[in-house]
Amino acid sequence: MNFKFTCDQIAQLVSDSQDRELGKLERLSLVLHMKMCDVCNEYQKQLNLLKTFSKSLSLFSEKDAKRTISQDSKKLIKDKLNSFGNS
Amino acid sequence: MICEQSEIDEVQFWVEEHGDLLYHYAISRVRNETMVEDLVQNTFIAALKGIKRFNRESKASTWLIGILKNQIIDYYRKEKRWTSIEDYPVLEKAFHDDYNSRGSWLNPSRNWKITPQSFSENRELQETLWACIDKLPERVRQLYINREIEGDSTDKICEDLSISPSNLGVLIHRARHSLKKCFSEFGLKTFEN
Repeated sequence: MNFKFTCDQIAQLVSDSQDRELGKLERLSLVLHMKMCDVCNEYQKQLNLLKTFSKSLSLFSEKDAKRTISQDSKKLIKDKLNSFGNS
Repeated sequence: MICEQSEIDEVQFWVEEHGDLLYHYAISRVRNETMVEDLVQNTFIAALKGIKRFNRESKASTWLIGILKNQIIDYYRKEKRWTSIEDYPVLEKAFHDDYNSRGSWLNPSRNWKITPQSFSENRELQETLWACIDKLPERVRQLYINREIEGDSTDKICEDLSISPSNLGVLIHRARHSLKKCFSEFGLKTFEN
């Protein structure tokens, strides 16, 4: 049985652990690798932080909040609503 | 379909009140203005169709965003095949470039000294992360937004976007990896200035 995962394989596992429960072999391999690899430890910390940061973001950026629908488009929609609702 | 005039008036009022909000939401996910206008229009028409089912104890804006989100999901589902990492060679290369032929790290990344608290209080950092998310390929960005910002379960995403769990796992990882790189480069600069 191969417990030795390389760093690139561990990277995928770290990500997977955020979305599903890892299997026994996967968990063991992850734990063993993390005991020996500082860089992958840091990677896991950063992916966890990234998840937390993303969760706290609002529904859209400030840049996109400045983009608005044109008055013409609004009128078009209202006209469509009239014809849809009266047909 | 014949609606009461009061129902038509109400949805037309929503166009004024919430049209911009729906536009902000849609344009941040679909970078095609013509398509976004169609999506927003279809949302209001769907709202009129379903207005009798609208629960008046909840906010109209929340309900409308829910309809719009489903419109966007349908839009992506109709797009041609895009559901595997093979469709995104640039994203895949960005991942593999960080490792040598033995699968070990080439360049260790710097520590992030940013805490969740400082992130939530710093608008510039949030905009930086959004800018990084923006750099993702469009459909992968949609995946990331649904999973990490909107909190959809992996099961829901697989069903909505007709993607297998294993493909989702690889794509979402590559997205996270790219964002980590981007944020490491730009976010830390913003934080340190």
